[in-house]
Amino acid sequence: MTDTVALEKRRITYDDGTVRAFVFASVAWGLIGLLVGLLAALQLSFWQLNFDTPWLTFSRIRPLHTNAVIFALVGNMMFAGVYHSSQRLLKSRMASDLLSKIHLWSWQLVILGAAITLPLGITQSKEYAELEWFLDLLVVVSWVAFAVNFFWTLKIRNERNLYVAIWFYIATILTIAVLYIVNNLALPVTGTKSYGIFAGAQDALTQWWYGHNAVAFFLTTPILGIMYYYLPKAADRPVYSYRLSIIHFWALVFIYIWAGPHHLLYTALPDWAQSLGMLFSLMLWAPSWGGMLNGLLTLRGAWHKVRTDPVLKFFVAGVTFYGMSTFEGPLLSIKSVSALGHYTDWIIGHVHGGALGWNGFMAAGMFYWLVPRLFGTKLHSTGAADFHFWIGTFGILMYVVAMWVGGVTQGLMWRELNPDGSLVYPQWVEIIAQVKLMYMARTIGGGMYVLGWVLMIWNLWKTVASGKAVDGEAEVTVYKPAAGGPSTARLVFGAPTIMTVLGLGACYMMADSGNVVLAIVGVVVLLVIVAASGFMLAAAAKNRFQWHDVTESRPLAFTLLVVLAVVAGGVVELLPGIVMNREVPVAASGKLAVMPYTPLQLEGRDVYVSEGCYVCHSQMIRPFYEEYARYGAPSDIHESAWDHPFQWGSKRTGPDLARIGSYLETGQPKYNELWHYKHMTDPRSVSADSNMPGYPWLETTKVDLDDTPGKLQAMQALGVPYTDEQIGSALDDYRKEADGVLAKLREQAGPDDLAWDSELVALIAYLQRLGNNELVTRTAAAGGK
Amino acid sequence: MFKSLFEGNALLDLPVVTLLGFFAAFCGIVAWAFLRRRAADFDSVSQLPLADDDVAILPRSTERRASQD
Repeated sequence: MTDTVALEKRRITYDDGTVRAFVFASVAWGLIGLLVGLLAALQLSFWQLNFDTPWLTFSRIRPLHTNAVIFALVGNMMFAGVYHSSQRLLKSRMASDLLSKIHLWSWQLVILGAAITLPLGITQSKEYAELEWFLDLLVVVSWVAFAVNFFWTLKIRNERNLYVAIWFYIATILTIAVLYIVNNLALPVTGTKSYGIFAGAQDALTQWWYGHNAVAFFLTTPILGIMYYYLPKAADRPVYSYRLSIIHFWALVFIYIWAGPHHLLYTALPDWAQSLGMLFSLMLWAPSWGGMLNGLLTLRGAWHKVRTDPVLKFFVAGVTFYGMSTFEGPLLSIKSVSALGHYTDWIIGHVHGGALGWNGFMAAGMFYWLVPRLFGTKLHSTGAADFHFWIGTFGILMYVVAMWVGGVTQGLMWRELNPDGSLVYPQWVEIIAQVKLMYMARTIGGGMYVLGWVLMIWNLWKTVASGKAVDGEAEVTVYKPAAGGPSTARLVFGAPTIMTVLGLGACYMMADSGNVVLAIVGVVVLLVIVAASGFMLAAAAKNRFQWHDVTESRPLAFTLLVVLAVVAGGVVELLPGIVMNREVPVAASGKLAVMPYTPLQLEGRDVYVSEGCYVCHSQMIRPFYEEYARYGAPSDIHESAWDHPFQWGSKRTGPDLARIGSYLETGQPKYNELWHYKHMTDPRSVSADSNMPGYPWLETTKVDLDDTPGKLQAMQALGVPYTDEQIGSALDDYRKEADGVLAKLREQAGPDDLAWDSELVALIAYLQRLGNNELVTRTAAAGGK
Repeated sequence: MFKSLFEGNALLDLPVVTLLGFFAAFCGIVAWAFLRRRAADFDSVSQLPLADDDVAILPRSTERRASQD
């Protein structure tokens, strides 16, 4: 521990007003997020509940549900926990009341913005990163206010040591900042529309590097920090093993950042990236379960309290769900398991086990513990809290089991083949019909969970009404560091860091097998490093200042090392894909095998993005025979080379669309223009049992053609090979192609009053384009898995 | 520079080598935590959440940070 000198004793008052506001925001926004989720679940069983209304349609409100639960329910809960526990662990009021207020209100503004824009179809259509550029900027402002306030508080703290919960908060703040900014780098085209700077496979890798680590560093690490603080308090005993918590922390920092590609197994992503994702996901098993056991064993000797204390009930169940989710996640990352489970409702069950069980129950436990203390009173009804726990638990189990059964059913039916190699279930609606019961069971389970949340709101409301808002006060000892400690620079660039960097260099020399001399030098350097590390470890015991001891009480040094681990891991994983040329082969015709979208197709794609079609449809055919039989040749990495953003998707409530415009080996569209027209305006008119919502407004909504040339220009700036001539003639080309679509519709006895500049015409053109490339496909390779 | 670096090597080299390096660094931390750190240090830090109970709670309207300033 760092040596310090005591100066004086002081009384401080904590800023608990901000904590109360975040608790209120989490509870209130959480209810909205859960209710929207319930509506979305009902819509899958009863398509009529889409009401043919754009802002109530499943594909628009499902992202609202996920964003509300992640950023509003969990986000506000996390901030409440961080503000409350950090002040007490650091023995200091938050450094700036102004920054606390800016953070609080700007975050609520972000959520309000999401609640308005997502139902309006203003979205980037990247999972958990749907918010458009202007809201992304607001997120950055809010996060910076939070970060500055937090690190400033670290600087003025009156506690020498940084408890492990603070480590988790530091990792959260830094990593989310890096992830969010990189994944949302975009070129604004209009006030409400942007194109991300990455495309296709690069975008997929970046998105799931972000998506997975948003789960890791937004939904996991801060809640672990909260667990390490509130669980010992509720149990009135210290964490079972502080040693284990240190290992838990560093394991997550070193390993989590690499696991993102497990979301892209069997896609067109390079194999090495997929294998890396799988390997690191499996490695996460150990630290995650170490963390879970550390939490549960904290209750040693206090298990009798769980019987009577609803707070402990929620914490125990929450930590257990953490263990379940972190077992299931690596399991689903095994390639053969992923082959069955990916794109199915199994994944939906998995994420809800984590979100409702881990995040939701930890939130409820924290609220039941915190609110009485923030209002100087007792919880209104322990019985009601107990009932909340049981109804919530049954709700989650019902939800998760229904999705497991439904998901495995889907996966098995998709791959079921007749002896002649044809599909047993070629009609998608047959498969949907099989899981309808599970969709109902899921809705009932989710409904029970929402009921529990409503009960909690009532209970907390009665608790608040019986007390009065109070701010905690504490007497603290003010310290100053003793002279003689090592500088921050000496810690950051200390022997362990240098050894690690040198070791990486030595390994890299060895890996470059083309050069024998370099490989030998690498081996020698490695041996020297190993020997030196052993000597240093032995000598460290005699030193006054041990490197890690000092580092963990120096926020700046600690923060820089966490940044180093996270950024290096992320950059090394992403860089190879980003710096390589986006090369699209030239076809026999002399043209690019994958041509950029025409102006009409590009506008159609923007409609596809805006309506959130990725929520139910993938555009990524995996290299399995059954997928070939259903959709056509496996997707090729080049086919999405011009896709800003990529639309590979992660769920198939409806079938894959990657080759909807060029079916199997016919080269012809699977459906004609009239079929698409009918399917979009009234899906039941072409598929009686479909549960897809109708999109009749696309027929009357016009494309804003003033923006079209600018969109092509933006794409050109991002590397899509449009010529200036193409940009110049964009509107003429658009009209010509749209007239062609209308002519086909008339030939097929379709409507003759559809406007050429309607969104529906553009969308049909885009759908008919999908899969229409001259690329040499992997048809021959489609026979095996 | 980066392009030539990656074009000259298999794409897998850099990520795999780095992850092995990270794993080694992590193992070093594990070794440190179990071998070198005194149990007494851990005990004192692990008590922090239990040692922070507020000595008093004040009505919201009373002085805020005057005492700290």
